[in-house]
Amino acid sequence: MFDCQKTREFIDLYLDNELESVPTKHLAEHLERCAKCRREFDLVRSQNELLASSIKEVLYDTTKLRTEIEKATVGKAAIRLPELSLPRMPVWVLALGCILIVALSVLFYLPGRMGVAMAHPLYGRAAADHRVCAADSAASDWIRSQAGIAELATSFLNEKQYVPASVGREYRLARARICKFDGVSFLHLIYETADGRHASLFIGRADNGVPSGELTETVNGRDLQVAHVSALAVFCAQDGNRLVFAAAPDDNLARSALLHFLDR
Amino acid sequence: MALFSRLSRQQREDFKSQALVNLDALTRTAVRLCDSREAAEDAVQETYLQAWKYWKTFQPGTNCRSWLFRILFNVIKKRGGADRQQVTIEDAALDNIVRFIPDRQLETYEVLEAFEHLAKEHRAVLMLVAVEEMTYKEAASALGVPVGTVMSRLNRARGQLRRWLGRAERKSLADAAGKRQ
Repeated sequence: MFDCQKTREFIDLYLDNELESVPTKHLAEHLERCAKCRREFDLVRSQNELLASSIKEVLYDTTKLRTEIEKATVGKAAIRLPELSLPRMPVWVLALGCILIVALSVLFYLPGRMGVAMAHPLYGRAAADHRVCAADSAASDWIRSQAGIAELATSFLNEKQYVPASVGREYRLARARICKFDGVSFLHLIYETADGRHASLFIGRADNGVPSGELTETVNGRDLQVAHVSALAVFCAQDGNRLVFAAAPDDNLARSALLHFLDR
Repeated sequence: MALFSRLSRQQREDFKSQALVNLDALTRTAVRLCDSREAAEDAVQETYLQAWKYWKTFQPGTNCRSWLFRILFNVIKKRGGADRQQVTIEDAALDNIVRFIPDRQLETYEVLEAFEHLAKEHRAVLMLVAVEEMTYKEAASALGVPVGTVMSRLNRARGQLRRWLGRAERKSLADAAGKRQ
């Protein structure tokens, strides 16, 4: 039950419809009985109504303001694209799709343009070894005499091995040593011109067949694997149980070096 | 200018039907809180521009009116400027002021004048609850304060308004008596 004091405390809440149903009932019952509180109630209510009506009585012409706001918002010119009815999907799915597209581009498009990754990694290793060994002419493990190179080839390959004394018209056999890359050992023959240009032949065992290059060339019935790595042409072919790489600054020389060896 | 509209046709329609319908209420409130009609219209316009900017983030089904009022109050607060001339009534001084008794209908201007004397935060809460008929919860959301703060501000605002209306009433009666003599 509400007394006068409590009733007056809650009149505002009652008029603002913020009282729960039970106290509302108690307050209404008290107002029924108490004339003094009822006068207070009427007073507060009339004040509230007076305030609301006085403020609402003043009307403002908002036509111009409305026009300006509409112009700056919903009426703003916009180029509309036809709305696509794509199914809704989480952002992470879209992000994953984008990453996949980029990854596929890197895997398939760029290698075709750069001529690197489509070929077996051995082509890249051969090219790198060619560059390193060509620059490393002063090393002590180089065999430089024709006889010494022939002996190295025989001992490395366990049988007598033909070693071309030159490739092309300008490249002369300069030195040889055993090089190892990707766990595979090769007899590395360096050919050199008088003005210091180099070409290489790598002769090793064809235990795992011929690694695939970027493309295959067929010359005189022989399949040559071709790759291009950092401005170097690298050709490869199998000869019996031998695997042979030729690395040179251009296709013609690399092809010529390899065929020179194969067609001995 | 953006090349492409960021909002779909449906979102534009929603903005019209949910946000723009509150223009009159926002203007009415802004006028009571700003120094001039021009300042009030500027505040309302900025409110709608901000609402438009963030309309995409507005959750359908939530209270758009409270959201707009909250933006409006932030805009007005940010713009700052001197608060309207207001008179603070000390409690001791209130003893000499007769209570408002509606024996005579006060003129609208007298009520508005009394309302002008209230502090800005008191005017704001009265506008929301007494004029726009928001619930305390809606008003709290619009003002960015707890419901308890809404209740206490409302209580104080109404008390002060009642006293100012009483003063207006007394002055009005005195003027009428003076004229009769």
